[in-house]
Amino acid sequence: MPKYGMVIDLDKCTSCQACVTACKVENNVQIVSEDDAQNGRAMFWMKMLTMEFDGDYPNIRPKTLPRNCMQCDEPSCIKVCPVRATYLRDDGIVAQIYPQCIGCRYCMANCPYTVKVFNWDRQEQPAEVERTYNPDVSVRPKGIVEKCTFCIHRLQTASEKAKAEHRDLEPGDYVPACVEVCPVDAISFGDLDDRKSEVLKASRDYRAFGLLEELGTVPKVRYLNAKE
Amino acid sequence: MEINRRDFVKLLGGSLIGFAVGGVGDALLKIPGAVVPLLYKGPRIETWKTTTCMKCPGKCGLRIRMIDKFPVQVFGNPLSPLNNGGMCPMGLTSVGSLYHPDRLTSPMKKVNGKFQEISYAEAYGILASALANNKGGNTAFVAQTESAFMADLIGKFMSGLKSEKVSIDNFASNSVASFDRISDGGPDFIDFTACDYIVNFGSQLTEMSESPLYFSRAINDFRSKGHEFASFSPKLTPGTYKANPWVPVMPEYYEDVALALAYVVITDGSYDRAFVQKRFKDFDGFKKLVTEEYSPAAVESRTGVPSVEIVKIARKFANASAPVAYFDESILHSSNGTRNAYAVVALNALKGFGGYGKLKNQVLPDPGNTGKGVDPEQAWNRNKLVGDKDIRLLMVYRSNFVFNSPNSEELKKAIAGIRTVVSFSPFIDETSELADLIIPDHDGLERLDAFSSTVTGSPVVSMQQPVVKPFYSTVHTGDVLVTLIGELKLTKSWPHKDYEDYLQASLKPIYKHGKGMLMNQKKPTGLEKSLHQAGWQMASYSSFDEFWEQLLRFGGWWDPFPQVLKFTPAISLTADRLARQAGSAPVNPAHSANSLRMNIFTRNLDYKGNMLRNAYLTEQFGMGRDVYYAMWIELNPDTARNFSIEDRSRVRIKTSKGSFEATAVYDPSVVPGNIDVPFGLGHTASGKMYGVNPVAYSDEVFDEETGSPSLSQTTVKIG
Repeated sequence: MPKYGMVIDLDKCTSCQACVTACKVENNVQIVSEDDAQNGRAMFWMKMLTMEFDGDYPNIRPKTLPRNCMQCDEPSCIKVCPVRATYLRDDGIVAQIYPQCIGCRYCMANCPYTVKVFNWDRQEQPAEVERTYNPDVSVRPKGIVEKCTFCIHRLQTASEKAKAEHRDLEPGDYVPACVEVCPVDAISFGDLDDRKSEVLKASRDYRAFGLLEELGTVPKVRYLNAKE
Repeated sequence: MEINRRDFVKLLGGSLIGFAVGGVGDALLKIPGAVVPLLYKGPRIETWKTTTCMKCPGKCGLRIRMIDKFPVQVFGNPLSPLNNGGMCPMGLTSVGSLYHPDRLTSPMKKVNGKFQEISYAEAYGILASALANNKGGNTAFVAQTESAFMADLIGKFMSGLKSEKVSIDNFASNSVASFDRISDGGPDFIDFTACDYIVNFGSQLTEMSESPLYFSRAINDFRSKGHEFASFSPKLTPGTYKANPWVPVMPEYYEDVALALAYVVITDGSYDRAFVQKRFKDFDGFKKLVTEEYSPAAVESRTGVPSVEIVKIARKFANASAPVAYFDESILHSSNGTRNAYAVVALNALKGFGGYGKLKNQVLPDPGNTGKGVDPEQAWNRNKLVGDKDIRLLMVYRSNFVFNSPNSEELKKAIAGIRTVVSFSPFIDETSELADLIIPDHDGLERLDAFSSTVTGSPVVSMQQPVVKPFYSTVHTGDVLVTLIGELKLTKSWPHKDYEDYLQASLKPIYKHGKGMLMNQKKPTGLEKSLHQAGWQMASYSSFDEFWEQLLRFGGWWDPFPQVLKFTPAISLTADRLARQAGSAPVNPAHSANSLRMNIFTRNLDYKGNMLRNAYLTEQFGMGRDVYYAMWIELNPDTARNFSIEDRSRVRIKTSKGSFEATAVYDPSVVPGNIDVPFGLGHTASGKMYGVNPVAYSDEVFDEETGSPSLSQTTVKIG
């Protein structure tokens, strides 16, 4: 059984936000109302964050990073879910059973990365958005927590295709949308248990780090620091 | 030209109405709502088609995911040499415009200030009347297109009408226009195989350039070889995050800085003497001007750019074996924009343009050359449209120049004085709402076009194909023009019956010369590369029809191993074209205790105002600042404190044209004394307006030569 992980190379990343848009479009993530957005309820599974600035003006650079669900190996979100709506799959993906979610938001409160978002309302989506929904992904109703799933529906499709072709899933058969669209290949994705995989090599690079690793969440999304 | 209106309508009716009605296709599709049940109840058969994005100058190859023959998602074409499968936010959401409820579904005529749907017969009647009255010079055409083929067609149409009042906003053309004025043409590409140092003047290479996705990849590769690029720009945008160093400088000073770099190169004696002797006319005059007036110390006192930094960058530039001083269209956005460009061209000449390349034996229309008399769009604003009382017919193709111009009120008045204004916009926007007649163009996923590019160092033709039949009664503007040229007999012989026919004729040279390959495989390597270089071809077609079919199927053609020449233009730049003329010193907004400078910046979520009606991009626009559907400004915390402005507080920005409210966001990378304001919001024609358009609040400062509007020379007060 593979263990999926992701490594984002901040030296390559140009902060173009294509990953943010691709995620939103691929997963039918709701466009919230103007008021909700202004009240901090905008919904993004992948977000481009500016963490801090290095240096002093004019020798200054912002530290930006794309941040999605860290798909922790010790996820703090699942420990507090009273209905087991969120759970850790054998392949390492922290998944969510939407119909089981009761919307208590304990998982949101317990996630140190603040990557989960809540459907405060179900806004009528612009017509052109509704008409371009990805038919592979369900639309979540009001009162449900959601987050990055590593585009798990793509894994399902790729597995079915491989099965139909009487072969095993191969590296590259399944990649999340953000990985596919990144114009500079800054995001590696694959099986962390595969000794030959690029993602494993990248995750062991001297530049690799995880966010808030000291909390013991064992994030499977890791970053490569920008080169000096 | 004398032409009987009735005959004309009759002629056009037969030719053009066919396009429009033929375009409607399946009767079911007349009701766009019918798409929805089909999407959800159909057999869900997934198919893919390739096409090309037309949202920015990048010309990225796209793969369209179709469910039951309707497009639902957009991904990058991994075999396109321009984007290699990568995508940007604009391209990813481009399918939305196809289904947008605000799309114009048929021709519209303005009656008592309101648009009414009319028939094609009536629409062409109005166009015919207007054209019948044409007497060379009173018809004008403003277009925004990245297709050199479409630009060429517009040029042919206008030259047939004997009018030079053509303005085609084409990024590549705008970028090399300054080269064209002082040399025998511009370069085709940065030769990244040779180039080992880049000094960038204001270009947002990875965000808004001739090919942002290609440059994103190329710059990363360039840096991975240990090379550096320095960037001079008024704002630290994502495109400059990787620059080493980033030197903040306002655009009107690019000229000073480039010439100060030239000063160091000349006084160090590290310039290419052989090249300047042979190819730089009046080099002695240039040298005299530079050494007398542009010492790093003098430039530091004028611009604030530290002379130490200038000397450091100049010496790296001089010591590089193939350096490039780069600029593109963005350099024109200043009161002395063209002079800025001249100075950078001259700086390149000192090193013999070592890092640039030129293609040999081009068979493509040059995307950077849209024809004689065709200026960058900006030239239209001040110098032509506003000052020209003779124009009786104005045709506008996909350009929203009223939104992009600081003198929008003046433009509106000028347009109101024109007898007939015909727009080919697919939506009502700030410019098309001023038209008397709108003949809506197809959506990008419904139309056929081709885009040529040389930015990668290879000639590339990216094909845009109709992935669906037109949903509505819209028409391809190219078809209208091809028909008009034929019916009005604007050229001696015109064999083309429609735009497809015209495009096929334009692309035949590629088929005939037999080189290159379709976008159906990766760039050949190893043995296959050697075979290709030796002239071996593995053509999968035996006739032009097959070639055309495959060209559309695979998304384009390119030549991975072209013959490349060194770029060695002859420079004819006399010192008087550079020297600051009395009274033409750059407009430099005064900094005082209670005033600041407004610097308008662009992002890769909007290209020239095209974010209008894109729900995803509008939401995402302020995500990085956590400001949604509203205006914000960015300012340095030190500046903010001087004005007692708290982070995230609401402030009012006052310019000579009025005032607007915005959220103040601290950003320590903003040039002290500036407020940085994002461009993209503030569409008044969208039904619901979010934020404001800062260009409308800008002072009317334009580049002296091209009329390109300045985006950073407005003084504001804040409170």
